[in-house]
Amino acid sequence: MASSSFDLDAAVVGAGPAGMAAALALAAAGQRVAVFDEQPRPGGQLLRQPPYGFEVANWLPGRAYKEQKYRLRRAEAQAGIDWRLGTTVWGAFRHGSGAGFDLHFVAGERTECLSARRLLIASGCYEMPVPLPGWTLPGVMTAGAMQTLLKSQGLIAGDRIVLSGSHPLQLVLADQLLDAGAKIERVCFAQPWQRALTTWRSPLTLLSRPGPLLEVVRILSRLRRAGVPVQFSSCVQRVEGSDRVRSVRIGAVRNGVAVAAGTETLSCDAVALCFGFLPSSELARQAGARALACAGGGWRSESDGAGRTSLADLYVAGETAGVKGGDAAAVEGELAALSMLADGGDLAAAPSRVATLHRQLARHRRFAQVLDEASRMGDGFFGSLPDGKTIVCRCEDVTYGDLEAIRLDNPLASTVGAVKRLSRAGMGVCQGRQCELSLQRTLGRPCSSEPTMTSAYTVRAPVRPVSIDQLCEARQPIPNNAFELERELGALRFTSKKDSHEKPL
Amino acid sequence: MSRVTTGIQRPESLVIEIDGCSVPAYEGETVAAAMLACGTVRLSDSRYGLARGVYCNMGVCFECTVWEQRVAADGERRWSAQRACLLPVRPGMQLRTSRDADRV
Repeated sequence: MASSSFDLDAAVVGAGPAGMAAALALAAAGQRVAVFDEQPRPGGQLLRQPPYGFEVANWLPGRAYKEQKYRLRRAEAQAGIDWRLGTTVWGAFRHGSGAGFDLHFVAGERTECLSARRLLIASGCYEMPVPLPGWTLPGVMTAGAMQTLLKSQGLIAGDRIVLSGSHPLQLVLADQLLDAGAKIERVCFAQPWQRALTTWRSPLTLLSRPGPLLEVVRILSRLRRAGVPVQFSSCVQRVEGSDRVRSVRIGAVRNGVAVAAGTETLSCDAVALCFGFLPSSELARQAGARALACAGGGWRSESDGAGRTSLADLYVAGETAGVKGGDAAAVEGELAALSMLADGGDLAAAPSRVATLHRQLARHRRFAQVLDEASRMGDGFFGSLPDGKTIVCRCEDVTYGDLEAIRLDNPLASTVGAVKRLSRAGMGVCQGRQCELSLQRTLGRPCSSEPTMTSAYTVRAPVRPVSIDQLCEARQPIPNNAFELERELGALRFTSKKDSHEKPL
Repeated sequence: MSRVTTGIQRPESLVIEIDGCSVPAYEGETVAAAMLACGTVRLSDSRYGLARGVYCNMGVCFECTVWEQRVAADGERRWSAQRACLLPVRPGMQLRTSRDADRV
């Protein structure tokens, strides 16, 4: 089994619930497995751990975290897992022999490469960016950012906090903020309360997962006792301040659209936005795996239900294959690992175990669907928030007004790719993760079921910026096809040699 | 903006240098957390000089990019772009929030 010419039997990208579950199963089967993650400790965003050297009493209490924390401790104790933490994977290329993959990653000051017979991408998700006036001001962040600052760094991100969104993560965050003694000024849900609640009407879903609903009821009553107003059919419509958040304007949402009339000003210094999540599937797409459009935005890697993608030797698990939450991710991680073992002829998983996992996954999927129905806002809502001065591409400071002007000047530029080239939206260091969906919405979705030149930004290596220095220090040759077009090197803004700021093309 | 103290035992505090100012911090915490804890929310400037801060805190948005002085293999000191939300505090760190030294 370990006689191949590959450095690894299996490489796992992402040390969250899916990656950990997969690594556990792979290592237990005797595979040489390495796990890559940008964070210094495993756990993913769900279990963002405190830094080494910090001692936190009662870290992440609550039943929802119990099983995940147990898996984390098991993974950390499991022998035979090669943890590659604090590394940034920037490309996956077919290995020379035609099977397996070469995985290129930045570790410290240089880029390195390891070959793996099989590659699992479990790179999770990130929060849906929601452009509205003032959303780029310091102090405005995603709910996930505010939550990870708290649970990992022990930092309350503001003295007077406003939460605005449509996703129930807001309630979890509010609960944790209150635990820490934070002052929350307001919690706004953009959807009407009837919709937030009636999606729970299905008794089957309720019976299979009563925990989350009870938790919602508990937190809502806790917020009420703490004097935190919770509003439905309302949202932050504008953030005000010159170089940081000073206040927000909160207004109503009617018929799925933010209405300007009768807004209220609320003084605050931190705002968390939370409207849903987009799969992080860039690496799998760069490697060549087929992706499909998600109903709420973003692209998920296509999977056969057991982690296999359209490419041999490439597997996906967790949110990369569609956002379903951490519990589903862990199940998918184990399923993908069992597929990898079976495809290598290394181990035939017990059919009963596989059946159990599929049953669990089906239950998680149903729950995720209910959550999605309860929390997803339509394109009309997101279109009603920004004005002409609102920044759509944070990296390149492109506004909605810029997009409008470009479209007036170039009536034939109707595709995401064309508008990107004309406006520079999507050409910055985040590589379009923060503006692709907004551009799609502006140009009118639905686009297509698969990402194309016209409906999506093309994903190319490096999928994360790599500095020239790091490339120069590479121990292994960089694949010829890594940088197809010189102009794509626009992503390499971070040249540390001299302060030569590149001019826009 | 405040650090939670109840139930959290941090290592001995130290001082790092940001834009020439001394900022108290704890080894291992992220530079972003240390800056927020001392009230600095403007971590970087956008292409056209607009104020930016922590947005995603997970390495996706690059809005918290700061510059850390590092010694390269050839011994030369260089300012290296780093995401403050992923960058752990180390003793003796020197950082700046702008690529251009003249702003500091």
